Amino acid sequence: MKDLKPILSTIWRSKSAPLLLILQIAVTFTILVNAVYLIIQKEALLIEPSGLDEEVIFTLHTNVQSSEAEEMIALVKQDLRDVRALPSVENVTVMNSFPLSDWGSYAPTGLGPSEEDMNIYTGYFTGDEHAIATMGLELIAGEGPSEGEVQDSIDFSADATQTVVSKGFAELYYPDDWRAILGTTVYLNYEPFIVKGVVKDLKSVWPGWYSHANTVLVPLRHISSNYKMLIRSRPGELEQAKQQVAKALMKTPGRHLDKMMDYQQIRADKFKSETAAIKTLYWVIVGLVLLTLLGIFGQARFTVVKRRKQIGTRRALGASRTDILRYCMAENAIVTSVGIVVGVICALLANVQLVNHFDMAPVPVVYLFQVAGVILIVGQLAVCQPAWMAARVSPALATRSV
Amino acid sequence: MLIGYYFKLAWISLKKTPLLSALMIGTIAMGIAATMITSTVSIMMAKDPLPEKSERTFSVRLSSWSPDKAYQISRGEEVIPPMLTYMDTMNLLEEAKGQRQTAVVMYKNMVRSESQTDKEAKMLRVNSVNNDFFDMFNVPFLYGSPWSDLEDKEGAALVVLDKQTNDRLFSGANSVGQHILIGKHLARIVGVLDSWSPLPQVFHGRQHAHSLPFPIFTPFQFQINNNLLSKGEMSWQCWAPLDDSSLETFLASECVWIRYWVELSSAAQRSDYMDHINAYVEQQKGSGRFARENLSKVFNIKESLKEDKIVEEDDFIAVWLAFAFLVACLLNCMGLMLIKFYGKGAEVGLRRAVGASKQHIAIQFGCETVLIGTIGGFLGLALAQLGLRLTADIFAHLPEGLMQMTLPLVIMTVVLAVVSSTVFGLWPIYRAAQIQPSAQLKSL
Repeated sequence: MKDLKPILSTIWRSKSAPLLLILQIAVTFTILVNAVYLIIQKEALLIEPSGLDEEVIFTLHTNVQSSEAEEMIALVKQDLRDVRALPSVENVTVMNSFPLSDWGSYAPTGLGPSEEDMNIYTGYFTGDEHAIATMGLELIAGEGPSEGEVQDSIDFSADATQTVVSKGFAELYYPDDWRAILGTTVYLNYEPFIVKGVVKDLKSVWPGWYSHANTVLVPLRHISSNYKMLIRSRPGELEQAKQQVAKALMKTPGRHLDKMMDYQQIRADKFKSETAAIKTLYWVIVGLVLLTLLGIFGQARFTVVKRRKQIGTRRALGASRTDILRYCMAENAIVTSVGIVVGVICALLANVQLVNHFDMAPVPVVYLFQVAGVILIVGQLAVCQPAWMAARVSPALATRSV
Repeated sequence: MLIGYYFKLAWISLKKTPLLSALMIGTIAMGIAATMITSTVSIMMAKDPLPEKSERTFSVRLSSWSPDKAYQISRGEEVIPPMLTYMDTMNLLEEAKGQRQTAVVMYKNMVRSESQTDKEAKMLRVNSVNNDFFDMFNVPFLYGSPWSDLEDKEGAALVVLDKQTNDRLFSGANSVGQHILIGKHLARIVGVLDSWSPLPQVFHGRQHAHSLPFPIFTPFQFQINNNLLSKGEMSWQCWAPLDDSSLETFLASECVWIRYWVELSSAAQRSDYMDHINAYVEQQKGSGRFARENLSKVFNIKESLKEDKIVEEDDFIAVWLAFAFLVACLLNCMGLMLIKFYGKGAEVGLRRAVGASKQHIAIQFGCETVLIGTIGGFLGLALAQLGLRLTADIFAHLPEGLMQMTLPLVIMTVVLAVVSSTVFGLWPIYRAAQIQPSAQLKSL
């Protein structure tokens, strides 16, 4: 590090150009840290599992051609039987909404019936006796409803007295031993329900919601003029199952199928604005890195041109090519590091603003280090070519007058 | 003209150091393009859909929730429901205190023309509104007109089609007077819309804000008369359990599910209208409703965009990032200029020695900066157009044509490039003008 002193004194003597580079790196660092952090936060939302076996499941909406309760129930049951009989279909259920879909219900929930007890909202799903198997949920305690325990619910009238809950829900009320919730009474929508089973993971319709992991699955066969079916295909037969189901259902005249979507489509639909934002942020990062590269490259190159004579003199006085190379790299590393230090301060200040204005969590320190590392490497890469150019300056140059 | 000469000098100087000039112009162009792309996207996403009367068109919200619990708490403050109950909607429509008022609800049903078979019917989303809706939101008609006040009250089986649906079902002909089937209900067409894509769509709240309007419109009362609610698709919330699932019970309940909009004749009438709303709430309190503290509010269009989170915070983060990016680009360019002008020390010294003043030097380099800024600006504009094409792919879920730069934005782009690069060029210019003739001449 014998170069350190001359480097510092050079920077000190002509402050303006290094100062600008420092500022630029500081701004770049600030943006990068926050952009990377935004991307990571959004991507976490995108890949969070819903608890379902998404790769074999698809959903659809279809109509019931009757308005008489008994007939509607009979028609829906017939549809379910028809679909279940198909060779590529493993199981099928009727639900009120699906995790990650565009519409869902929630219910105020508590351990007691009074308003004060109803302290939290939870995701509210209904499904018949096949719901747990069709979604592929893992029942980790208790049991699911039997056929006789499933009530028919026409147009959101509800009569159930028991429920299955997610582990998240159980831990909410029994944080020490979630199994203790089995057999107890919880209140949903001010009505008592006995907890019969706990599933490991079932997410609500709304990712990012404070109660996303807390859900209940109530044994109701939810039927309205337009009802929703969730179908599980045999492994690897998702596409065949979609075609067979559509064909089987369309045999009924007047049948309409809507929103036939597998989970890949449901996810793409749910997260379209997040995906767009992530892509934009990636472009911002690419642009920034490119800009930093160009900026450092341009400056270093012209510094070298400016200093040809000094470099020639140093070479004539015995400095090796490696010395010159090392000097250029070290100079860049120092300027970049100072820029990063200023950048850390700016990034933290900017992050405080982001946290205040946009409801974001503060950026973890580890990102600061990672981004700092990236910028240092980018800086060294950018300076390679100019440094190499400097190293090749001939000592003879010093002997000439200009 | 001396200025012309300076620009010529600037051009020569740019050509002399092509790499450096390209770097400078390139960084400015990149910064400008990024800024303009994100600004365009966020301006388009958040633009006022009804600028000529956004100050006097209001979303009405009443404080009608459970006596024991707030509808929502956000940042420690109580939030009231964005929708109204059927009772309140009917009462407010009856009183009709605004210049125009309408309920807005969505439902889904099978729609086909009379000549089509059952199998050809399409599941469509329907706007259930009052006849004032069309004038309130400046909906353009190609044929016919909205239904009348009387038909609105009765809930007559009438329908207004949008242009695409009319093109599809009637090949674009004037279909007024013909009939279509909504479910099993025969509805007469009274009007056909011209192309209409209000963005963002404020009247349905957040969920449908950036989609195209639903293709057909029927009277609100028609939906009620025929029980055409789509409870599995529309937004509705209750704070007390319902006794049964009948429509009568639902309509008589405290469940909220109707968005209610009112247009006043001027923004000044807002407080009068609020007095009226408060008086209504007091009157209802008398009959045992509205047990909570009265927080009822009206939001004009801009306020609703914010309140319903239609204007996404993410958009602002992107603009913020892009402006920071522009600053980084300009700093970069400033550093390059500093080097460039420094490298021209000898030339400056010579010019100074033969009589040029500091001002002359400053103007000469000023011209060079303006030239760089202008070229950078136009290149940035081209990049931005290209970028917007790409963004249109990224934002494929949004209606086409949303991501377009308006003329003011185009002008703003170039001006921003020139102004910002000149401002950031001031210091390098100042430094260049300070160069002493003697010091430079000696080394020559």
